[in-house]
Amino acid sequence: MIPRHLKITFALMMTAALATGIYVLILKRHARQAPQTTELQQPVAPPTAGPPVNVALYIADDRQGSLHREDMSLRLPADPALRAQAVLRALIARYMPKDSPHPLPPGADVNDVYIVNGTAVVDLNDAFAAGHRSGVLVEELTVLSLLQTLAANLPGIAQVKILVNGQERDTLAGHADLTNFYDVATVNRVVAQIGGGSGP
Amino acid sequence: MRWTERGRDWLRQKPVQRPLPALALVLLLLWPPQARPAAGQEYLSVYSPRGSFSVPLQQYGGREYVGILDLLDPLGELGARQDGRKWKVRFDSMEMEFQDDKAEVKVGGKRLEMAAPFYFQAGRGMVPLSSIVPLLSPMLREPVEFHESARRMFIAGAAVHFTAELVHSPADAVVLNFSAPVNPSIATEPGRLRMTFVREPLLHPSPTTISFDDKYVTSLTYHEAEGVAELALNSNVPLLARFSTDRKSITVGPVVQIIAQARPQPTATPPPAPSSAPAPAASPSPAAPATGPTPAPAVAAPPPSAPPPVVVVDASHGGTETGATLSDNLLEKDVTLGIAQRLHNDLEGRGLPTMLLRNSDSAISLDQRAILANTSRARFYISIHAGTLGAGVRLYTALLPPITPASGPFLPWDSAQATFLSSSQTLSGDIASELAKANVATRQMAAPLPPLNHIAAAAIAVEVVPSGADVTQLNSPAYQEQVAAAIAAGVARARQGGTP
Repeated sequence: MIPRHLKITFALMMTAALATGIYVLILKRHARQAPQTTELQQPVAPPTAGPPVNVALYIADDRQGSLHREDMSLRLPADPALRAQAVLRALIARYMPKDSPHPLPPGADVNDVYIVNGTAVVDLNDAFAAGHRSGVLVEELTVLSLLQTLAANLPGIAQVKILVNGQERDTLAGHADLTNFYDVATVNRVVAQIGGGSGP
Repeated sequence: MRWTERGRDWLRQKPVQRPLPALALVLLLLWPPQARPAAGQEYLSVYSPRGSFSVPLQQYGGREYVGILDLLDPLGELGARQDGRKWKVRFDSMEMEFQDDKAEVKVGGKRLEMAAPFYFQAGRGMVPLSSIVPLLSPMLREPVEFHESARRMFIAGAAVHFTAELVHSPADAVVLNFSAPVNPSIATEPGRLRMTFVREPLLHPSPTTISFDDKYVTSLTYHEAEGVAELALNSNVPLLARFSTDRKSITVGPVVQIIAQARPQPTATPPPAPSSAPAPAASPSPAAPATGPTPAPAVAAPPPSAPPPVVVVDASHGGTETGATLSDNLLEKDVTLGIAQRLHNDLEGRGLPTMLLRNSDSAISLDQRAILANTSRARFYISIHAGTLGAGVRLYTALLPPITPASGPFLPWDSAQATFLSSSQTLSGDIASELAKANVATRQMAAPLPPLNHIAAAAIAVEVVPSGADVTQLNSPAYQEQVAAAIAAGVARARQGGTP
């Protein structure tokens, strides 16, 4: 016959073991959630310095397979590179909601924009390319949206090169070419061509 | 003092003296060693006359374990039942009896000692991998050959053997002959072309290096590891692999020589009317080049005389470069290969000499695709893609700034397509017309899609999208054939229309 005090001790220890197990599970769940709460999900908000100006964003639409223009008022800095970065971040922010017409991956952002003698170099972050959907049209819409928005708001730009995290990359996500410089006039012509978005 | 007396003394102690060791004991009991998947999930490849399959391995107590039911299920009639701590498995007419946490096992009434204890995990009986041969041999009543370090198991003599031979005619090359059809993944790296055999029980007595007295292909290495076998051809020039039509022979040689050998001969008088029945491939096709050279700074311009009307069909992506994930189990590289093979057959059926750039799951770089198309003197280049946005088929031509077409013997690499852009747009229009006739929605546009800019021929990319919401339609033979037949008709129309 097992003494009563032994039964109580055993029951207490079982309870303690069970509670410890539950506590460990809770800690594991918190640990899994922790990186998500600290990860930047959206681009940093555009700077608020400078007078508000009208900005044209060329928004890609997956269903129509086209771009359409949306105007918004934005306070932009005077420096052209910072101005370009702010405009692109405003564009990317437009693609962040889940119901966006052309969703981009969480954390997608522009690291930097450099402008030299009419050539702009846009440096996207890793999350932008790594999480981008793969496909000819979906990648082309992203590239055209970035370039046309940049060209519409910084008229002096004649060609654009896209980097990813400071490095040249063959394609955005397996299709859209990132090795060459994009000619802004040619991009403008293509955007005009696909603007209606008729067909598949 | 014997342990039982020590135990009784311990129980006689006062309760306040016992909680800590007791708590440790309870926690120890509640915390048994947990089975965990091997880091990076390891698999055992099993080859048998019934087919090839792989089963996951688990690490437990520092040993690799495998689920006995996972192993036996594909090999025959199987049943299992639990009887208290005993677990019985019946396979055909033989029975195995295991006991949880015991190394002893009964196989057909005979006792065997495994290298480590049997254990249960999530209803699966796990046995040590190192003891698998003595367990399986009596159950299967067939010879079992197990390469433990490579995690490969061969049942009932399942094996594919190969021979390698250096030939000098019609071109310098190494010919690999296999005892059964093979379909390896092909990857390239500087100085080497690697063929990885996952499903085929490729077998060689031991890791081998065969040296060749050849100035291009210097050696062949066979080795097996991680559940696969690999043949690596070492070379000092870019290599190309070409499969025979029965897939029992692979010819590997320098790119230029293999291309010259594989180039289809133009038919003098093509059939007047297109045939709807696809003809078998008339010539084997190159599969994968190796050791991609730095992209040529210029492309040799086509000769003044009209080139033979070769059509190059390029199934985009391949190997580890899978393209888009179209659904949970449908990759773009597989869809493009299916459509490209059908298009190849349809074009050959129409009497158009066709070269398929990729006819297996092999990786070819974008620059290599352009080099292969240009060196074959293609008249038409069609790159096949697949997607899920929209519906129907999109036809893309190169996105190039207005450039004055180059004159002279060479074309700039980055804008080689400029000279042919108008022909490409004509080809796109002809294919769009034929697709419309076949009731397939189409759209034509320019796209920054490599390697179109580097192609010195009329070049388009085709992105095939399902006609509705059902993505699996992309894998449907009927839909693939509908699209391929319309594209082939469009190419035939462009050719008759006199596009250069």
